[in-house]
Amino acid sequence: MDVIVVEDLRKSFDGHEAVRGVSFTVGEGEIYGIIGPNGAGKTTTLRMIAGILRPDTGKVLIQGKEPGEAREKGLIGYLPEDAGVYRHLKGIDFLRFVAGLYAEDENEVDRMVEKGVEISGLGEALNKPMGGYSKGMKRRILLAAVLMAKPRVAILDEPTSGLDVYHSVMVRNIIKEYARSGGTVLLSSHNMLEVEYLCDRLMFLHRGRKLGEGTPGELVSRYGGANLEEAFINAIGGDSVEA
Amino acid sequence: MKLKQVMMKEVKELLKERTVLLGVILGPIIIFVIFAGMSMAAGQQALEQAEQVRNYAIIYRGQAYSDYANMLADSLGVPIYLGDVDPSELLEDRTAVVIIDDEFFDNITRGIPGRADIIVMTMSLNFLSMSLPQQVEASFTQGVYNLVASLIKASLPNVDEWFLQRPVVSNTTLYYRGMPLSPGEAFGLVFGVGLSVTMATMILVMSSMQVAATSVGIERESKTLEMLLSLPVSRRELILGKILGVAFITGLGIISYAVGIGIYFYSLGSIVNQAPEQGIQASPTISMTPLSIVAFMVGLTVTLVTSLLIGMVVGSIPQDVRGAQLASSYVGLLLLAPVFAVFFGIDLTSLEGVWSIVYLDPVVLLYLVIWGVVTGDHGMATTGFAGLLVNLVVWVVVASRALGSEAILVGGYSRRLRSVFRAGLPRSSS
Repeated sequence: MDVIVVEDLRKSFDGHEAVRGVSFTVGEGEIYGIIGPNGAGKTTTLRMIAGILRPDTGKVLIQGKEPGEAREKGLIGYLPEDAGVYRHLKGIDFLRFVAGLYAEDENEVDRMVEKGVEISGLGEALNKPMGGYSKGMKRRILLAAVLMAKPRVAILDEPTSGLDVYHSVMVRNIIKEYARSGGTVLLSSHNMLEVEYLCDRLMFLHRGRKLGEGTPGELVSRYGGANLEEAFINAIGGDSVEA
Repeated sequence: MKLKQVMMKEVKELLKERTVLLGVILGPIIIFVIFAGMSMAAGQQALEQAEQVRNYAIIYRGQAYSDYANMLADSLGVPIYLGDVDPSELLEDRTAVVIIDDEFFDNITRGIPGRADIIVMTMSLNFLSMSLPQQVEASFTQGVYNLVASLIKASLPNVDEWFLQRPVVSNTTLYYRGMPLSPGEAFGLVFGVGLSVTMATMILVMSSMQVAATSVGIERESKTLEMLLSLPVSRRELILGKILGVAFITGLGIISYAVGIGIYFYSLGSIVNQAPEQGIQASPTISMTPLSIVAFMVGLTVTLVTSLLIGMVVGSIPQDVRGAQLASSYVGLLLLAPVFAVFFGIDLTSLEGVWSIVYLDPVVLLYLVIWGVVTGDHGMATTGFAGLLVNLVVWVVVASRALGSEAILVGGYSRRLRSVFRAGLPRSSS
C-alpha cells in the first residue's frame, strides 16, 4: 500500500513556479529520495508534503489523508534542512516537549522520550541546554525528536547536511534502522552517494520538474554514466543546475 | 591606500545592511518628522491659548466703584458684568472670569493690593494649560497697574513701589472639564498621572512589544519555526500558546508595575497632602478608588495583550531578532508619539478628521482610560475601554492571519516591507 501519494503538485512564489506538476508514490517501509541541486524545488515539495505549505494545485495524501490539520500531522515527522534548536532548553526537555504533542498520555510520552534518548545517543549531554550542542549533536537530537514518535512518514530534508563523516554515517544508520522497523522515509539530498546508499527508489528533480524515477541502478542504466552523479548530469542534458 | 580600501568596504557593507540603514540613517529623519509635527501642533495650541488668555470677563460685585471697574474693563478690552452674575454661565464660552468687589477698589485706592478671585476653565490639562491661571492673572494685573498708574497714583503721592509691582492678590481656581482643581491637584494630574504614570505605562507597553517581537524573532533566527509548524498541533494552539507564554512574562511585568505604581502614588500622596501652608492642597481627585484601580489594571492588561499581538506581528516581518527588535522599537515609537504630544499641549480629545486615526492606537486609548479613571470622567474612560476592546479583536484577527499564514515561512504577504528588514526564510535550499 502506498503511504505517500503525490499527484501533480504545483507551487509558485511571486510568479516563479518552484514546483511544476510533480507526482510520485512511496510505499510502506520504503526509503524514497528526491535528488536535485539547490533551487530544484526539493524543500518546497517536502514542505507541501509535510503540510506546512499549501499546494497551488495538486494533491498530497498521507495514508489517504491530506496533511495540514494537527491530527494528520501526527502521521508525519519532519526534519527541515537547517532546523535549529531552542538554545536555553535542555535536550531531554525538548524531547519531552515534542513527545507531548504526539502522545496520547504520559506513559506514551515516557516511552517516546526513552526511544528519543536511545536514537540520539547523546547520553548525559541531554541534560544540558541545547545552545551548547555541536552541529552533529543538534542534528541528532532533532532526528531523534522526529523518529521517536514512530510517525508513519519521516520527511528528512538533507538529513546529513553539514555533518562530518562520523556523524553522517551515524545518522544514515538511524534512518536505515527506522525503515527496517516499518517506517516510511522521504528524504532529499544533493549528496548522490548518500542517496544511492540509502534509498530504495529516487527521483531526479530539476527546475521544479521530475526528470526521472526509479532505483539507483535503473536511473544509472537509463541515463548512463559511472554513478548516480553522472546519470543526473546526463539527465539534465548539461543544463546549468541553478536558475 | 589600504586604509581607504578597508574603509570603502566597510561603508559599502554597512550601507547594504538595511537594519543599519533604517536605524541610523532613516531613523533620525522619521523621529524628527514626528516631533516636528508634534511641535507644530503644540505651537498652534500655544498660539490658540495666547488668544484664550484675552478671552476673559470681569464680574464686579459692588456699586461704589463702577466707574473704576468700567475703566479697568475698557483698558483691558474685556467685557464687564455688574452684580450677582453666575460665573459658570460666563465660562461656557470664556476661558476665565475675574471676580472683584468694592473691597478690591477700597484696597487699591489705599495703596493695598486688591483681592480678586480668578476662575479659569480648561478642557485639557498639560504644561501649557497649567500656566493659564498665571497668564490671566498677569493680564488682569497689568490692567490694574495701568489704572493705578494713570488715575489713582495722582491722589496717592506716597504709594510705595512694592504696591505698584503687585497691586493684585488673586485666589485662583482651575476648572478642568467642570471639575475644580487646586494647584496641588493640577500638579498631581499633570506630573503624577499625565507624565509619570503614563511614561511608566508606555515603557511597559514598549517592553511587552519587544518581548513579543523577540519571541517570534528568536523562532525565526534559530530556525526552529519550520519544525514547530510541522508538529501535530494546530496553528491556533501554537499562536495562543505563544501569546500565553509571552503574556506570562508580561504578567510579571504587570506585578512589578503594580508594586511600583503603589509606591509612586504613596509617595505622591504624601507630597501633595503634606504642605497646605505651601499652598498645595489635599488632592482627592487623584486618590483612586478600588474600582478605579481595577478598571485601570484591566485597561492596562488589555493594552498589554494588544501590544503583545502587535509585537508578534511586527516581529514576524524581519528574519532575525535584531530586525524584530528594531522594527518593534519604531512601531512602539509611533504608538507612543501621540501621548508624547499631550505633554506638548495637544488635547487628544479635540482631535478631528484625519487625526482621529490616533484612536487606533492602543496607547492613546489606554491614556484615555487612565485619564478618565483618575479624573472621574466616565465618558472618557468608557470611550478608551471600548476602543481598547475593538483594538484587541482587530489585532487578534491580524495576528492570527499573520502568524498562521504560510507567509511567515516563505514571505509574500508583505514582501516589500520584509525586504526592508532583510526578512524571509532563505530560499536557496528549495
